[in-house]
Amino acid sequence: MSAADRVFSAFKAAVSTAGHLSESDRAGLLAALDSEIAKEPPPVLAIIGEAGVGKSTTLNALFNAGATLAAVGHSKATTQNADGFDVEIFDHQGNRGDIRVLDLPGLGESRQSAARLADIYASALPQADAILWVHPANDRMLEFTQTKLVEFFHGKLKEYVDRLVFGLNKADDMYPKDWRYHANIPSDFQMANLRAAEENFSRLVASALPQGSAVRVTTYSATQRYNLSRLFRMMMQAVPDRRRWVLESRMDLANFLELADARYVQNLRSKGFDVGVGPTPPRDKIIEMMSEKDLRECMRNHITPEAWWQLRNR
Amino acid sequence: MEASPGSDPSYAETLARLAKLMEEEKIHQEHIATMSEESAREFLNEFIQRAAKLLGLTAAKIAALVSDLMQIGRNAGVAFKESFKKNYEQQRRIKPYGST
Repeated sequence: MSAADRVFSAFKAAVSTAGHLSESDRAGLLAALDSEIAKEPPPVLAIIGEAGVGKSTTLNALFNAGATLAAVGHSKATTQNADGFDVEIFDHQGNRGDIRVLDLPGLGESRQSAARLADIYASALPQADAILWVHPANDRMLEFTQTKLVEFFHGKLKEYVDRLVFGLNKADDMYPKDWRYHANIPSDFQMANLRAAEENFSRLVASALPQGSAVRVTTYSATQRYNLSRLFRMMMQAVPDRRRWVLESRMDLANFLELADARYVQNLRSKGFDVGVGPTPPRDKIIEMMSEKDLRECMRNHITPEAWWQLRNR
Repeated sequence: MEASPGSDPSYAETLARLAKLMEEEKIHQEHIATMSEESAREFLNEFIQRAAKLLGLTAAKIAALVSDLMQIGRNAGVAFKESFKKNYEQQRRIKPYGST
């Protein structure tokens, strides 16, 4: 249940028992609320970046718990082709509901036609609740990006500057590329370089954007699931207040600890850390927890009680 | 890639870094939940005003509903603390050691 769902449930419970309302008022309010929640448009995320920077992986890491199945996401709706630029608009099928995605080309792909690209950004970005600009963490060639940011966000797009989040992806690719895969964290050298990259990028972006703009920059790795909570927090901050609950209701972050050696996870658990669900209980205990309907469903679908327990605790 | 944890001389240090990362992650998740709750209450407040007009509710009834909403806001901190741990654990989805 999302945080917003908890608030809605509490409000519905208050309405259901409100003595000052008639039965028809209560029924009318509850029906109207369900209708309004259902009618709320999905979150709209503009995602800017060059081909291969990891935009699809990022979407799956944020909204599909890292699933990479072919069936996940990318239900393409329309492609607007303008002067050779592909602007894809599609509903990404997240585990907890759709996310409308405006997939925009990055600046590096369009040095010759940056002016045209500015028009495309100007028409697309005002529709977005948040704008995620994905850039490789180890790319320090930022002068061109900086120049164009000055042009774009001092002009037509000035009022949308606070919706910007810069995600420096592929943290695991950072020099000297010695990611600690067994623990799924950066090496000490990488950590130092990631901090430097973040500071450098923040400084350049801050000098390019209008004075007083929020500068939200974080390094992360979509494939290694590193720093996703921080990235999502920044995206929430970028979304207008009234629409934040809609974005959070779709959140389903991939867990970086799933890629770490299980012995670390066991050790952390033994030290009292919340690493997730505990060890799978014995089969007879699981069966005691299952309803008759659960048992029938499992038998029909050839699901073991252990698998059922793990799925239930996802 | 480094050696396995069993032969890793920096095992304790790595474990400490993992623990720190998890603490940070938990803080981010708490902030996300707080922002979402505030946003949901703002949405509900707007809804009450619209729905009240539509259903022809009196000012007193609207005030009572807004009061309920404020109470949810006050309770949210407590409820959040109680439910956060459960939701956080479910979110993490760690497979038990040794499972395939």
